[in-house]
Formats: sequence, C-alpha cells, structure tokens
Amino acid sequence: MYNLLQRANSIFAFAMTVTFGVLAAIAIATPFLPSSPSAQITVKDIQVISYEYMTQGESEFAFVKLNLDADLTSLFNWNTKQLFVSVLAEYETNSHDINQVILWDSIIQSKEEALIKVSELHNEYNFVDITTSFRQVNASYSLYWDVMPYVGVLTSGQTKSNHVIKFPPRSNEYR
Amino acid sequence: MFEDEIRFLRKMSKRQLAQQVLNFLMIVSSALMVWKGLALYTNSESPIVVVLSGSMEPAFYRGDLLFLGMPDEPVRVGDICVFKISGRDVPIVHRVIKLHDEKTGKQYILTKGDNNQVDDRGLYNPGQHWIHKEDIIGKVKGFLPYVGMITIIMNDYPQLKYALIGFLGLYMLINRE
Repeated sequence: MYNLLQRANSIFAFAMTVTFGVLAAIAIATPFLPSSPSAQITVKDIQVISYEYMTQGESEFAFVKLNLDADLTSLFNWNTKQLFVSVLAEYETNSHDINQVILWDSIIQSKEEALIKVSELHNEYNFVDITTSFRQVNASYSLYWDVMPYVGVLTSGQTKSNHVIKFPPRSNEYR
Repeated sequence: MFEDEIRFLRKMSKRQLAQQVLNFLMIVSSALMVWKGLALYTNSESPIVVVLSGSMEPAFYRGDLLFLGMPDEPVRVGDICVFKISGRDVPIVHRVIKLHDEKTGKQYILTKGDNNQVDDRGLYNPGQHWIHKEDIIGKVKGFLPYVGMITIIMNDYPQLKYALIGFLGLYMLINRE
C-alpha cells in the first residue's frame, strides 16, 4: 500500500501544490504593493529634415533632443525582475487619430539604475510618420514603463505630465 | 513488480474496468475543457504560450510560460504581443514600438524584440512594413518562468512524451483509490 513509488508521488504532489500556492499568492499580492514613480521630460530641440525612406520616397525625419529626469526606484519590490523604460511621442494627424512612437528605450535591472538622469538624449529609432510629413502638428512626450515580475502579472504606467511641443517646419540640413 | 497490478486488472469485473476507463477519459476531457474555457475567457486562440527564442531577453528566456489575454481594447505602444506572420507557423513574441491608428480603425503596428538591435521589418514578409490587429494572437498579461521547459524537452524528445503519456495512462487504469 505504502510503497516507495506512492510515497514519492505524494511528496512530489504536495511539493507542487505548495510551490504553486506560494507563486499564486505572490502573483496576486504584488500589484497591491504601493509605488510612487515620477518622471520629467523636457524637449530641448526638434528638427525636421527630409530624406529618402524605404519605398515611400522623400519623408520627414524628426530629430529630437530631450532631457530625462526620472525616479522609478519605488517600482522595485521583491517581485520585480526588470523595468522596460521608454520615451514615447504621441500625436494626432488628419488621417490617423493615434500615433505612438518609441524614441528611446532602456532595460533597468536594479534599483540603483532606476534613478535616471540623462541630458541631451537623442532618439535612437527613426522618428518618421506613416505618411511622408508631420504637418507641424502638436506632439506630446512622456515616459512609459512596464514592470516585469519574476512571476505574475505585467503592469505598466506612463507619466501624466506630458511635454507638448509642435513639430517645426522642414529644414534643409541638421544644425 | 507489476504482478500485483496485473492480478488486480484480471480480477476487475467488466464494470470496474469500464469505470476506470471512464475516469481516465474524464481527466483527459476536463483538461481539454479547462484549456478551451481559458481560450474563451481570454478571447485568445492559444491563451498560454511557451517562449522559444531569446529575442526578448532578459525579460523572457527560452522555456518561460506566458499567459495571454486579448481584451477588446486596442493594441498600444509598449504592449508585448504574440503575433503570426502569414505563411509561417511559429508565432513571435515581441514588443510594439510604433503604432498608427487610422481614422477607419485600422491599426498599423511595428514590433521589435527587446534583445534585437533592429525592428522586425526583416522578419515580416518581403515588402510588409506593418502588422495589423488580425495578425495578433494575444497580449502578454502574465508570466511564469521555466515551466514551459517541459514542453520544449518533450518536443525535442518525442519518445519521452509517449513514455510519459503511456505511464500516466497505465497508472490511472490500475490506480485503486
């Protein structure tokens, strides 16, 4: 009745139940941990210059220079594996009501790195509209982050105070 | 070692044997029901996927389990999406880095793996610059590390899979409780 196989089986089953119980408790509890992330983005300079781009021909490229000052240390708790932090540009055009472009991103794996202070940050990805021109609309710049847990639910957030600034008219060369 | 069990199987009446077989089928069908129920609840055709590549490291490693959801809300930048490229079987798990919502409601989405240097245009079909909402199987909502390693190992060594299924089936049949 109580041979080795059955004992091993019940020990294994019990260990599994306990492990997954603890993991579930951690996953459920983590989103309730308080945090107070803050970030400030100031756009220093934008220039719009047109170049050949893929198959769509002459297209406007925006070159953004900004200062970033963020304190995301409070997002690090015992179930935080990493933060994905990115600078987001959002704007509305006549043909597209939501345009969102990530200009710069970074993966943060420790609480020490979560205090971010960068000045004169350039966009690391091409900032090109889906049409060929930005048409000098207003764009807002904010910081977006998502929190990757060791186990459980992925959460994300975005700064509320956005920096809004117009795309300048096209210039011929980078100043 | 198995004489006991074989004697037990011989001793069982037809009804007992039928009962054991039904029990076994019950377990298989409840597993299927849970899977399909989860698919309905999350509104995603495969609500749990296993990470197969390292393109999202250090967030996701090979063998990690991802729980997907596809709520009615549209895709947004920063979301980690599982999507299929038409003509290819294996879905890709990458992050949305660029998105344009046309006034008609159509979404133009560009993705990139966190661990890749460039965006996914090289992974899409030739001439394809964007993916759309209908290519997306789900958004990653939850994460459980390592557990998916079991399915990777079983896919790499199919004999192991059949041995395990056979053993579990036999165990269920001769289980006396």
